[in-house]
Amino acid sequence: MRLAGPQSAASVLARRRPTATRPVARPRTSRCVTRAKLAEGKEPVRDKKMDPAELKQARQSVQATMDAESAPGWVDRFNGEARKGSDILVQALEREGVDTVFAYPGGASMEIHQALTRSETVSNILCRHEQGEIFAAEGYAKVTGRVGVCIATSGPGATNLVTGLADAMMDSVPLVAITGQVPRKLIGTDGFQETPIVEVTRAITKHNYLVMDINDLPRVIKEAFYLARTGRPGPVLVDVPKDIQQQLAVPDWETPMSITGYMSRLPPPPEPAQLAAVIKALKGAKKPVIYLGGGTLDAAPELREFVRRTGIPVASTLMGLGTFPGNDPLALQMLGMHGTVFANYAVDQADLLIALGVRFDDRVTGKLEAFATRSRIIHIDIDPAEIHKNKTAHIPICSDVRTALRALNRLLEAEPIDPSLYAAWVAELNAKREQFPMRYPDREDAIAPQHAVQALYEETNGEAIITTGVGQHQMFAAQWYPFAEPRRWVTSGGLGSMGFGLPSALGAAAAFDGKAGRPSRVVWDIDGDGSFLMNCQELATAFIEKLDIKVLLLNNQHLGMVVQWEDRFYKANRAHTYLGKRESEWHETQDEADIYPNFRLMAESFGVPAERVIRKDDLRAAIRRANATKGPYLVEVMVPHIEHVLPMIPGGGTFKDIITDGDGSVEY
Amino acid sequence: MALHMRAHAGVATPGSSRSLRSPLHTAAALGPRRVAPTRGGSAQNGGRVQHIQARAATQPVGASQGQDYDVYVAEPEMLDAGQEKHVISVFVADEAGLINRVAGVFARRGSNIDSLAVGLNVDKALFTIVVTGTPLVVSNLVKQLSKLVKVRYVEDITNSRRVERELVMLKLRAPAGPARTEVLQLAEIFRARVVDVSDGTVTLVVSGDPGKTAALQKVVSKFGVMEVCRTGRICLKRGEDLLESLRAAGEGGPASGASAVAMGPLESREGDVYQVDRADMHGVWEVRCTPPQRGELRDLSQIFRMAVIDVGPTTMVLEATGREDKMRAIVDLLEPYGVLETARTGRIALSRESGVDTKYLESMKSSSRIF
Repeated sequence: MRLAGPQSAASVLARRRPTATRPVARPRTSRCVTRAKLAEGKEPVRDKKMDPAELKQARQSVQATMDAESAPGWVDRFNGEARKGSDILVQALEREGVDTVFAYPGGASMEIHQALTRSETVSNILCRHEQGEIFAAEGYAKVTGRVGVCIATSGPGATNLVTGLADAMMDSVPLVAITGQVPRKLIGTDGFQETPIVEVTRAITKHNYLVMDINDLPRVIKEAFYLARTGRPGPVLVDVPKDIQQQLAVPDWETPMSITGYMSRLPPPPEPAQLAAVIKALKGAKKPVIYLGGGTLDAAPELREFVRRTGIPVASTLMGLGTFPGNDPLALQMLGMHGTVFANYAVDQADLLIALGVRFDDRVTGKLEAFATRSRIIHIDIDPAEIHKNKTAHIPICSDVRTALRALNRLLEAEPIDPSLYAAWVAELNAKREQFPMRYPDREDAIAPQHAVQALYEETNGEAIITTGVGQHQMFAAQWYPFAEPRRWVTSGGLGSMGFGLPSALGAAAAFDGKAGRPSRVVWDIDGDGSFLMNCQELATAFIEKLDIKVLLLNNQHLGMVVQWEDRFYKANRAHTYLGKRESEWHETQDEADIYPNFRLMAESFGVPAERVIRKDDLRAAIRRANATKGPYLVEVMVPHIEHVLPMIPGGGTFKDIITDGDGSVEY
Repeated sequence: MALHMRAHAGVATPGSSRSLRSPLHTAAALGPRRVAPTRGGSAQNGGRVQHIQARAATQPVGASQGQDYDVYVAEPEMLDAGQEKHVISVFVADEAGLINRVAGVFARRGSNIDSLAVGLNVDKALFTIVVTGTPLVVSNLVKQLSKLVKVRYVEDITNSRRVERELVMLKLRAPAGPARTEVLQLAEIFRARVVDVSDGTVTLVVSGDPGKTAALQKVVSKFGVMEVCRTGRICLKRGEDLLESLRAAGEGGPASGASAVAMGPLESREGDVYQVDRADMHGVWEVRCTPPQRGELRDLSQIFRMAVIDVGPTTMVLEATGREDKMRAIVDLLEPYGVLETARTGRIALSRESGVDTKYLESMKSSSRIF
């Protein structure tokens, strides 16, 4: 562009315009640095790949189509008349296909609740605590894969969501949290029930909004749902001041989203060259192992096909359970701190680690320097920031796991790998499996918690949706309830929030209640006494909303996981980990009156039928009674507190440090 | 701070809004007095070079009688092994609270910002951030920054050819006599400008790359540096390498489609607060400039006392220092040529020793009565 003299800015704009809209026609030599960066390492396969700009445009046009069709069949109840901001908000939810929200009202959000009563398609489940409601929304999102929605009022209502937001952030759960806020003119005056929740939640949400203009509302909600479910999913918070909820306006639903930067950064499909490198690595490997995580939950068919074509054994993280059937001969089950010996052995000995949708968390790797030291690492993840974060990947692929696996399967179809290539390796692992099988000391005088989980597995044919709190019972559930399908396992992995089990069961049950075309499936909450007590108020929700949830409460009167660490590393000194009566401990007296609290009475006060099981022979009958009862049911199982979750690799340890036996009756 | 100003149409005064509280603002409002000797303080004080540990000393270094100011002492200190200083450019869409969002990425991942400068353009802002860390840590930070939804583009420009500028104001203890003479000579060597003088002090303004400002601070520290104010580094790539614009080409959209950044008028604000009367901003512009236009632009730059710091085949990089209204005039003037990139600092201010300024004089009665 040769300019003879100063021009107006407008003419400069006008002249640059054509080049801006048709970047494909630009000769390659004039690429700017950033373009060159995008193209790095892709040159050899130029003929096959799409131009990045072309790709971006294609993605955006697809997106535009999606936007236009985002609310098929949706009818404006107000016929284009002005309506309150709260109605616009609820209508925006309708347009996103939301049918269930978890909302607890308060001064700053009552307008939204009023509007909810005017909606025909959105129903509310009234949890009894904001933490319960956001965990329920997480449970809903985890079993459906769709965006969970919760609504709370300003101030304490909003701050009660904080744990759930952090939890959803860690576990990449698609979630939209809507909070009321004090009226705009009161913001910043320390008004009643005012908290700067956008400031508070900045680090624990994928993105958050404070809506200061009612005309932004349709766009913000659209963006919030888009952000929550695309890329690496996560929680998005939208803070809506009360006066905006009350203000009258006519919404413009067609306002486009203004997050082009984010959209252009969504990873494109993987390059053929990268995939070819994967295939080459597979062919060169003798001891490959798949390490899959929560990022693969929606890629189960693709993953199963990949394993069928290659015969590579599969180890799963806590979050990835169910993607690959737990009973498959190639399943090594869970790896990591409480993973099986053979899964950890496999990763330790492997010469090729195929990491799919994982983030190399410390509970999986233990000591990073000693993790998978013998292997080359293929890392496929949708979040570019996870690649090379903890472990340097030899073949990094930033892409959706599903797309990548599909492409890999196509390549494997063209040039198959002989599954017998790894037969020796699989045999070696099977030998390890026989040498160190998963086992527990079953006893007749008491119910081992592992046995209780196993009994539940058998009585439900392994088909239930399982939710858990956090602690020993969570690990027992992960170890002893193998899942055949993904999205049947609801647990707080990254953040480890106690009290997660009961509310998330509510959310799961709301998604599988068999009403309004939704499928039906039984939901069991395997919980501990400590975790259960943290959100036991949700029994009321279960009763009132008639949700079909059952609780298997493993009561050992202790914070079992901390007790286990005390036993192992603190000479069994009990530091506030005993939750029962101080003066008479049930474990010593064996007197039923010493069990505290009395969960049966508690449940009954909420109208929830309950029973306590102490003898091993009564266990299965109790579970059957629960399954046969409609609505909520509590089965409290008294278990010994000396039981340890094994195997165990102590924090920051390596495979060599693995502990496979012992319990609280031994001194260490 | 600069980001928020747009949303609030210039009515913002310090502390009037929550999201105004930014590292920059703290630097401008509180920075000059005393600097905590801890590293933690450096994230707050937006414009400080890491290897100059400014420290408040109770003992004056220079020989002077009767006065016990706190003075700053420059102590160079090596980085720990493996650590490097990285310059990161971040383009963001304009949104309230974005400084917090960007700074929060560094804070919650355990890194300290050495310096942070933010300049607002029409629909986006350019952050120039200097951060110390191992290459792995910094690359992780860059990736995390690019995950922020409203961030448009992030680049670690440490290894690219670039121009760097920083503006520093120093108030020195220099009573009339040989000390002052030496200060003035030094100022001349460093091409620093004297902007205020009083019985015991001289205030200098110097702009340049961080090495130059550090060198000046070092040589004048023997006189006793009473107050220091820095803007933080701003950087543009040299020549025709642009940070973002061509990348935005595919995105379409009226605001981002063109690579010329149209500079709109800056928000007008109330005049400076009384006693904080030297408020300097500093900016570097890269403008489209064909060879025949060079002379014209050079003339303009002379009028505004701008410096030409880089010339490419069709571009020119200009540097200017001054108050907000001067900046606005420059922007208006350069706009027709096509401004490709702008990097700006925020304002910094030191109070005049005399405590007077032009505005103050306007409000005074005339000196003598006429009968």
